Amino acid sequence: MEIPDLVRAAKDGDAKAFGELYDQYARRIFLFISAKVQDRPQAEDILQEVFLKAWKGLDGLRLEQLNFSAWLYRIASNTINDHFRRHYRKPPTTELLDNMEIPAAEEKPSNEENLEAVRQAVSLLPEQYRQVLELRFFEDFSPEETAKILKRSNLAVRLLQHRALNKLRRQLNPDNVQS
Amino acid sequence: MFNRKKFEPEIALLKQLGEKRKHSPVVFDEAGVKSKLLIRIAAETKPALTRYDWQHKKIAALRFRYLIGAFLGLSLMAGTVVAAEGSKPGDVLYPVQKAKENVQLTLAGSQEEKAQLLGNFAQKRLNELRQLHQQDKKHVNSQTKAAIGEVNHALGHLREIKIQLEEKNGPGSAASLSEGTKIIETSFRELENPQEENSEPERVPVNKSEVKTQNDQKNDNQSEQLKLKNKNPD
Repeated sequence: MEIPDLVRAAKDGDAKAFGELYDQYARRIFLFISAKVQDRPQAEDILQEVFLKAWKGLDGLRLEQLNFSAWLYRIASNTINDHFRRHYRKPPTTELLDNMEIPAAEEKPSNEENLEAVRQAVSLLPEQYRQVLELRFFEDFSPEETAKILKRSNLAVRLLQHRALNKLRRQLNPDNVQS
Repeated sequence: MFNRKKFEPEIALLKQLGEKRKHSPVVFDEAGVKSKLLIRIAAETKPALTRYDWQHKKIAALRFRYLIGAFLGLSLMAGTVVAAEGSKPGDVLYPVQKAKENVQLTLAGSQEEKAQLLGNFAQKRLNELRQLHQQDKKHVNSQTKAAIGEVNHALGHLREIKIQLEEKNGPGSAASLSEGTKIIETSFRELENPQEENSEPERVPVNKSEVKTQNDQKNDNQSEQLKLKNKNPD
């Protein structure tokens, strides 16, 4: 079944269909969560909370022009914020791709090296920059969708994106920086 | 502000990294989280109510209402009974106190227990009578008459119980009861005939043993007469 069909079935109370949606999105959402919450058990709890909220929210969900993925990321973003609000502390700076294991390279070694350098550079960026880059270029959300997920304005997202890419470039080419 | 072409190389690398990430294994308990999630969903999803369920729900709601009503009623009754304790003849709550005493007598497990209760109640009536007399010695209203009647009734009952106990357990076995009854009788007579106030007043005993030791010499003359009278009423 396609995602919209699964969403429709889940909305009608089909827990199995919702389980399939979980299979489709759990990894990506977990990566999104673990970028902010380093503790794995905590990140897993948040993941569970995200999907539980999604299940409960399905009732009131309007299916016309729905971007389920963006909706799920928005829930995840809110749940992470709730998590830190409960713990009265700011999210610690974490390695964005710590939980990711890049498989053995099939591409040219030079490209692989480049990717590793990018991975390192991204992990050193401030959290809000990383978030925007992840949503915009890893998950292919539009600036509008990213703005909705992060509860920011379009302008703010575009500004953050510009600054993030600028900083990434500086980190990747410290000797050859163009502003 | 944001020139996409300017950052083309970085964006291309980020997209490649994103693609790799989508296909790379992620270290977390995916199945474990899923099972916990589905269990929680099952627990939080209530099945649709059938017609049978609705009937059950209605019955349960009615039962709940009755229970609440009964609870409130009992609380009210209990409160009234407590408030009635210590009321005097003529008080609004006096009948409640009387009803409570009647229930206690009905529930008494043995003759001894019943006798004890009767004695207590008779003493209570006597105290009430004293209070009424102190208020207006000359005025004997219907409540006073009722109290006198009740003391008489209690004394009659006590005598009957004494005789029954002696028949059952042998002579002298109800001596303390006999003494208690006598004291009530004496107090009652004093109250009824104030001119006898000059005669030596008898102290109300604290307990049955005290009654026994205090009044050893007077023991049983009257009870023996009553026993004979009950056995041979003619």
